[in-house]
Amino acid sequence: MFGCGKFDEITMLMYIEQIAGDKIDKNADAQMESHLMECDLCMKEVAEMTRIEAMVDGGEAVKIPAIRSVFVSLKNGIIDKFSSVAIQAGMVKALETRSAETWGTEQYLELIAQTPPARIRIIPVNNEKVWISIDSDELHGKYIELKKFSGNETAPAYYKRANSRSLTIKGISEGKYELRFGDNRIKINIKSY
Amino acid sequence: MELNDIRIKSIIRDYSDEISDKEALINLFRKETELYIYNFPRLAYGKNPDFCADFYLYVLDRLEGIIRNYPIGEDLKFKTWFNYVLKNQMINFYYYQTKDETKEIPLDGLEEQFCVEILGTEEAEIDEVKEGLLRLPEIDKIVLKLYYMPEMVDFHEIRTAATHFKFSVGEILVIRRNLILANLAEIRRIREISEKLSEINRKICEVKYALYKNQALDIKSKNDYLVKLARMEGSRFKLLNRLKIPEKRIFDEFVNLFRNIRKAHYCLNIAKKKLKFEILRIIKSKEEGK
Repeated sequence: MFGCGKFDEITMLMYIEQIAGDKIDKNADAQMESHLMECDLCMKEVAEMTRIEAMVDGGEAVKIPAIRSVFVSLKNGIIDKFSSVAIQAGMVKALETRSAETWGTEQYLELIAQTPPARIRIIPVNNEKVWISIDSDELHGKYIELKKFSGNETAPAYYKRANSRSLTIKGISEGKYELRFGDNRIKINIKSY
Repeated sequence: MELNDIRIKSIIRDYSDEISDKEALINLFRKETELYIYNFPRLAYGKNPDFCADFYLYVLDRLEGIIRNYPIGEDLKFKTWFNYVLKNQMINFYYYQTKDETKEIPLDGLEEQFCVEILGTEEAEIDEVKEGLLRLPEIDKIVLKLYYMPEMVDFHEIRTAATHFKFSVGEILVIRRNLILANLAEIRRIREISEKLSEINRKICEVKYALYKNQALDIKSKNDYLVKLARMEGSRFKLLNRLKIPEKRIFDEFVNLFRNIRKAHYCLNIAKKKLKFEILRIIKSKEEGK
């Protein structure tokens, strides 16, 4: 519903389009004009929409950076969906299934990092927690940092020097994180439903 | 920033066909709109790249619903409808991120430009400028906001302006829109000149350094360097002058409000003087309070 709902969305958007095209017809829009003078809801919405239209119209687009981020949505203890942007950025390799015996879970999401090359797995443990496992030939001796953005945490959720080619960070609850090792900066957003 | 209206509408039309490859069409739709979606929070609300990236991901997950809801039979530009959809998605996303139910999305980074532009100085804080504006008569406040920050003019002020200047609300909205576009063009112009200036400054430094470093150069080479330097200094001077002269377009649009150039000049200057006076009073009372 647009504003108070007296005029339908299409009528209101047509009016906004007239403003954008500088084609205001005082007589034809008399009813709209008098309504806008009276109704705060509609007036506020029209003013905001015309502002947005002008700002976006007059602004210059910037290129989308290579977004190294993945959104993981958990439902009933499994990965229900994940962000498609990660696939476009060549980041998500596959949503594979492994046997319960090997991993203690049925499913994981595999991400591919480049600098240094690494395989990152997000493994759901239950509906609220995931494990993040990192495998890389160049991992040994590197600092691994997992920083949480949401909440008031100041210290990283995980910060340790790797002493082997692989490590697993356990007990990661929902929230926004940044995983850092080497030059890799990967945002991981975990949400459970 | 533009969208290909014909192409997007054709994709949506194909999508509504039962036997179409929905996934391929969503991908095509994404390709046509992704730059627009990513830049929307930055251009409309002054949000930072991190926010833009998060919002982009948020909207991508909802593209299918957006396509399905477009009223394809209506004679409405896709862009107009898409702005409305993205604005609503911004409200949902902002609520989802901040859990703030007021649903007012702040315009980040836009207010700060205000004091420098009106007063020509960064001395006054934005709070002092805001307080000063509140102390001004309503029309002076609107005149200043329309000229310097038309995007900050709220709907009450639009109504007041319509009544005071004897225009319809629609006409005031058109004037505000043109002023926003003129302001954005001016910001772009200043940015371009500044970039050229920094490039020339860099080159001047290089030539000066070369002259200083190679003192054993023969007189002809030194002269060549000096001629080059003089040309560059000339270009820099011209650029600096262009920077000092404000773009006429903003004032041309502003005059439409008064239908009279002299009156527009007079009202703008009076409003500026009143604001400066109020800000000085605020600063003084703060100093006395200490």
